[in-house]
Amino acid sequence: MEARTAQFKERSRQALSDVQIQVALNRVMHHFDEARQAAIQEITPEVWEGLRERGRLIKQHTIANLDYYLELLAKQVTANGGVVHFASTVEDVRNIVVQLARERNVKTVVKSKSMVSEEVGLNHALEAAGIEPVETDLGEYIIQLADETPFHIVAPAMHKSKEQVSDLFHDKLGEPRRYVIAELAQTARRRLRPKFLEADMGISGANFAVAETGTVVIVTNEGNGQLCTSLPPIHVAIMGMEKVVPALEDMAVFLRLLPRAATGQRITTYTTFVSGPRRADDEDGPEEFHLVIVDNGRSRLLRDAALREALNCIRCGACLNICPIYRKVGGHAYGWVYPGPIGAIVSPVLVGVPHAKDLPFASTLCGACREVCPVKINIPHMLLELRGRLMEGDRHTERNVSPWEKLLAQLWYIGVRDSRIMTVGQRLGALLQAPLSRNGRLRNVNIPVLTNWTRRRDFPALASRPFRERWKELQRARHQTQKMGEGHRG
Amino acid sequence: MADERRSFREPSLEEFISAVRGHLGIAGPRRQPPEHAPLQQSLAAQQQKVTAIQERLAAKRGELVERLEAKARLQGWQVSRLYTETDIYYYVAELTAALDATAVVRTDHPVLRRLNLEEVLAQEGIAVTLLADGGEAMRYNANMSDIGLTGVDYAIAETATCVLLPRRGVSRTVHVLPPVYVAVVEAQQIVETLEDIFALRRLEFLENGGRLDPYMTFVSGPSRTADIEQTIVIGAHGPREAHMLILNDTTHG
Repeated sequence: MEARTAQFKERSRQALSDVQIQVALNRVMHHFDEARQAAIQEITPEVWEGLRERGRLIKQHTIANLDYYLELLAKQVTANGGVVHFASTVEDVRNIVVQLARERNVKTVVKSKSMVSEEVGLNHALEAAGIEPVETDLGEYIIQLADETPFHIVAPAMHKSKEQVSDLFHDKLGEPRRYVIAELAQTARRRLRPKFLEADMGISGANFAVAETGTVVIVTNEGNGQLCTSLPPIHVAIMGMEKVVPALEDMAVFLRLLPRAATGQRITTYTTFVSGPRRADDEDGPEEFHLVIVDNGRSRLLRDAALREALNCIRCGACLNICPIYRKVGGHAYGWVYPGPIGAIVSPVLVGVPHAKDLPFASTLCGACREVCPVKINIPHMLLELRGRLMEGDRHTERNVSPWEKLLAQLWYIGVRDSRIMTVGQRLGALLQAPLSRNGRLRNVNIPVLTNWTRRRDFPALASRPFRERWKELQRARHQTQKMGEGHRG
Repeated sequence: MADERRSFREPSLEEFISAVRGHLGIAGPRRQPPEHAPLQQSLAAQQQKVTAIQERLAAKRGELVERLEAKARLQGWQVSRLYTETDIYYYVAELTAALDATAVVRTDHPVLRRLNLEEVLAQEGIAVTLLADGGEAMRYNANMSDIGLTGVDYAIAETATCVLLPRRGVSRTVHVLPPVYVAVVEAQQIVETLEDIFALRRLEFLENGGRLDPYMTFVSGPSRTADIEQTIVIGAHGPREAHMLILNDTTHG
């Protein structure tokens, strides 16, 4: 997907004034968190905290031994009769899938959700090769028809009202306008069913990949994950390399964490475990199973000890749902596949930090994301790390500070070390601020450059006399009172 | 086209893994596998673990049935307790009548094979077809049916899940293509937790020389979506109704 991360500020402004987006965000966002909390209550917060810690440890162990587990996964999938492909770049993924599709004369592809395929713009690559990709997850189907990017990693079309979806189905599919959500879902079922039955290839993502048994695990509710991996003669699963987990037993932990954190469900309707192509005497199933293991910038997170923890992410979306920034600007403002707090770390690193320099600042550092993360990723810590790099520069990132800010910081540095300069500065400031100060506050300061700080804040005005002076006077007055008291006793 | 292929070369496994090692700061291949308890259990240890699980499950049979039933309702299953296998006929007959349905597809799970569904229900005007050996046509058959009927290979009480292992006689489509799904669970198939099912599967993996069935499905209710306005709709690409029949048949021992 083309990265529009550099336009974060502009796109946020647009989102804030977009009535439909604001209505959608207000209607929906609190539901996610309420559902998550209810699901946690059912198993009790103590049990939930225990699961989070176990999940964190498993992920940490896996990433620290990623070479071992990826190799084990690849060997096992191959032993199971599957074909493993490695992809370092966007082009690798596109080439692998398109070439395979061409070799097998694939005309139609049915897709169940894959965020990695969005990263690499796979649908466009398939279309350019004359192949029809059909998204089957309802939210992805809607945004495919609308030619938009996902608004949320779990609910890609949550920004659309039922009226907008009805109009979309009418304009793009010739359907009568329905305005009833259940009927819209029925429309998608009816339109997509023939695609499932006829498709030449099914492409899926992977929520997890178990190394020991060579098993890809896919978590869905609609049934499209089942159909994409059962009906077409070829199944291609695309996974980010960090999705590997060591053992089947580990899946018990993640299957308890992911549905609750994502949608407040005890478990999703379908959990699919794919370990290879069909056997000869199976009734059905794909004859070929391909697993594409993708880097696409994840190695930059891997080699960076301060940012490596971002690879623990299980893509639940809980951090998006709780984030005060995401709740106001939504997913499109972030300009790439991964929005919200985790996106503010991952997107800059994957698309290039200089292209996404505003994202690490899109945070109040409230820490709510860290509290809700099912695997306890310390997101605020990493955001601060990225901010530091943007300010100071390092071998990965060039320094990125506005010249005005540099100047002001330098002036402050000089002034604050010398009390005479401070005193003169204060007196000058108290004088100069007079036209701006009202009742002891500086409101609506409209001086260019300063507006970055003053547009949304009022500042207390500088006192006309510094506290130091008043303290000296107060001390003198006290001293005298005491002396007088002693005199009387004397 | 030939040029394209020559200029494109996927990274090999060695190249990719070696690069990952580089990123982790590891010089060469590991001398020992990392320590992770779930992977360290030998076949014998796994067998012991499973024996212990089976003993626990046998001791708790009645409780597991209750728990499965309660959880299943919360997950949106329509649950019924049956006490003899012949109750299955009545259930399916009543359901097809209520739905105005005529076509049922089924798998060859043992619990269904023992019954003579085809003959018995034909008398009610209901066509029951075993979905097997039919090649490409099978999917269209399943697609045109009103009800999909399967046994299960396991059921998980913790999550109200029916576990299906497609194989000869068990198509991948019966539980998901028709608009209504009926699963027959036998009490002795119920396990308690997710750990239980994965322990059983790992034992199977080890006993098969390190191979697992190519596909396993967990079904935990009717299909659903909330992609429009976060409003839940029951019935998406899969069935809109999911029926769980829990069979606690003491006549067959």
